[in-house]
Amino acid sequence: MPANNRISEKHLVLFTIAGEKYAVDINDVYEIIRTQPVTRVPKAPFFVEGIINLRGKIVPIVDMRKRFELPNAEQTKDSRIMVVDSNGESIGIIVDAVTEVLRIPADAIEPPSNIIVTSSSDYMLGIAKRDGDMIVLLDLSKVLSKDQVSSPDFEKTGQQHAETHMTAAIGQ
Amino acid sequence: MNLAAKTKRADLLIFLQETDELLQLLDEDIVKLEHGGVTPDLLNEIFRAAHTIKGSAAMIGHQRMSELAHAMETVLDGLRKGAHQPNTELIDALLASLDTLKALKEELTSPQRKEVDISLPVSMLKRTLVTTESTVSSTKLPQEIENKIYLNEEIKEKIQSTLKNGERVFLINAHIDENSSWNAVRCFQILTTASKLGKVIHSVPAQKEIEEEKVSFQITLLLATSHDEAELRQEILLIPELTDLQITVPDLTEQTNAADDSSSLTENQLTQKPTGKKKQTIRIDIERLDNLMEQIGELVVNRNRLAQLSKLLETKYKGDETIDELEKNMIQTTKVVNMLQQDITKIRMLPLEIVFNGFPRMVRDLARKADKKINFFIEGQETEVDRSIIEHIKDPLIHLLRNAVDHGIEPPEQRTAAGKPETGTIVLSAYHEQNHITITITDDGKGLDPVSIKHAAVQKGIISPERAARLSDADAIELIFLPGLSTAQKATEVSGRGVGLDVVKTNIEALRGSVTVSSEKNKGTRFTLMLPLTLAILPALLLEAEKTLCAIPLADVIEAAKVRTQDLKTIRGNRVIMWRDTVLSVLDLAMIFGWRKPDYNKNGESDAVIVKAGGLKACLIADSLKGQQEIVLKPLGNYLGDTRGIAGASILGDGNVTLVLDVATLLSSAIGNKNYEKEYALS
Repeated sequence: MPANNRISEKHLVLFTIAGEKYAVDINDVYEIIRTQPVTRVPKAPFFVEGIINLRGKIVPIVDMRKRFELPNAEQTKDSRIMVVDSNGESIGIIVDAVTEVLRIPADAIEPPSNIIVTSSSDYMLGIAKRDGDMIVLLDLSKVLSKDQVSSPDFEKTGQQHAETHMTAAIGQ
Repeated sequence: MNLAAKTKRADLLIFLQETDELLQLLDEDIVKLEHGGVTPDLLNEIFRAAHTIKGSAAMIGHQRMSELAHAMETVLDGLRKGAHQPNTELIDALLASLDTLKALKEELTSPQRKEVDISLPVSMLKRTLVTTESTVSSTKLPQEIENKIYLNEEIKEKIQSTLKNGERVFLINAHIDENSSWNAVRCFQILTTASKLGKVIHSVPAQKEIEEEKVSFQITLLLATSHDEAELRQEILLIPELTDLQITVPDLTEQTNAADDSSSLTENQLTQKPTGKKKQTIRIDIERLDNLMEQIGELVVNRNRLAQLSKLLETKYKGDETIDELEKNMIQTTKVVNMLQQDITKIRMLPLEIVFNGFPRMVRDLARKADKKINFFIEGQETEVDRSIIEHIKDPLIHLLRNAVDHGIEPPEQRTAAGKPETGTIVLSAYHEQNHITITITDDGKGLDPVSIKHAAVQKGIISPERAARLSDADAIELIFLPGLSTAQKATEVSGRGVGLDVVKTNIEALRGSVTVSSEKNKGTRFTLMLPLTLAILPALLLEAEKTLCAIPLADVIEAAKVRTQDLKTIRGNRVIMWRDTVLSVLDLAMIFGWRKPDYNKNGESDAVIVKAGGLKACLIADSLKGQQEIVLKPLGNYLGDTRGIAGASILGDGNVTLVLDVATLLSSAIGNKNYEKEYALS
């Protein structure tokens, strides 16, 4: 998954969450399906909606709004579940809409360190710029990693993260 | 080891596999030998196993292994000739050799270059020979002939009996055109033609196999006939599509000579391999089998749903032709799916023999170490169990057998003093019963003493003295399964008996089985293990809690019940209910999962299930019960993390996903381990 610098182009799947544009490497996306009823699982991490049946396979579903601690929103007809690979496991992520698939030159992607740091910058591989648009390139293994968030006092650690980043940002 | 490099890897693998089986066979047989089962068949089997090991070890260049096997062979030969009896010294020497053979085999795969020394077992074997040396050397030649004849004993007998009638025996070998699609028919024609000309003594393939079309493009048969070779040839060649026909007079001595290089067609086709494995098998990756099982499980679930839908359609469009057709198809499909399910379940079944095999040796060694005399019997080792269960059953059984030897059976002098036979008996028995398997371990030892067990339990603070006084003897001995009873004071007799029995119980319950004990003082003890046949497809009770479907394995369900709110009581802050004179904790499923706030003010009735698992009982409240269904348990995967209380998920016929509850952990985390005693006391 780490970007291979020698490849001059990246093939990305674009999607939106709460009005922001995100992208992941197309090689990490197994398929995109319509949203469907999710069976919730007790004691699962807070951002896990539950599980679904994907052709006989049990797949856990992560709500990206919850993951990014954004306000909940009703699912619309555009809402989709993207089934992606995270450390070898198939995981579905709920996004507001999947907009397009595109190729982007590797040099149009800037590493996150050059850009204003937010609490979610840990999960960024970089930011792609296109026609003045900013697209956040997500590091799926980090976004979906339980290790970073599964502890019950996540809110606290999350805040600490945000604070350190803020300081870093101010320092710049 | 350097020889491994010289041998082809494939050859080595075959060698290892074959040797494994032979060593296992020797292990069992030598112990059998010790227990007075000295039959010619057994001796021959042991001899042949040693002989095969000698040959194949020499072939891959493992000199020392071959040498040791040769030394064993010599001793075994003396035994076969009746030159001496299998005394303890001899058995010890054979077992020591066997262990060294195992070490020698390990040497091939171990990365360490340490060479196993064979001088000790060889000298042990030689010592047993001293008394009988003369007999051995003088009988070398006749023995070898006997060995060859043995390989064909059954056939030879038949040949002998037909020869008396003045007929001759021919070995007929016919090849059929490999492009023929009628090979079964041709085989059958050859067989019937031969039958007309004389008496078929033996054929490969056999008639039954031909009828089932289990044929290749070749048939070999032994025919006793009064016709001569030319007449036979003439008759048989009338059958079309034959490419080759050989008719020979079998020379028995020569034929069995060929057995040694085992490449001879005759040998392979007319006799069985010395290992006694007669069935044709292939090795399949377990994972593939599991996948297959899972998919067929899905199919079963879907079939149920389809049958349901087709019933609905039928009532809706009665008399419609297409629907009738659908219905017919549905019935056929159902049949096929049922057969598939049965077959796959069978495929995954393995005989308990696999686990039981090593036990006679283990019991023998343990008994010798403890200076006890024990007869060990195994019954029902052919009973078949699902592979997933087999894997997990060995350790608990070892535990129980060990206990029986160490703590059950008394030392000989103690037994004599008690008026019992000097030699104790342990019986390991397995049998099928409806849809589960029962395994019992019975010893005729000193039995469990309920008084000492109660005493120990009170001392350890596991139960209160008052409660101990109320316990019946039968209940008291069940206390040995409680954790903590056995840990301290290992030396005392009672606690020694209970070493790790709580672990045994936990392990068996994890397989959705149960273990119970019964015992009579000075008469003996019996442990009874009940296990399900398979873990893959299980019947479950579906229920709904806060709009989420949950399934409880039926094995954990005692009964479905209705709970009236006004019947709920509170004891020390816990909700309880009286159920058949038993006080049970009441757990609201939606509440323990954090889906709902406690609300005991609501009036009326709730659906509930009385469940039992891991030694705990409780009353689970649900919003509604949804009936019974077969489900296929699927793991949730690692991503969801610690989902204690959930065993996995299952996909229902309509595609919906249900959670499958792990009742044992659910109860223990909800009620808490501390309340173990409480639950026991109340129940």
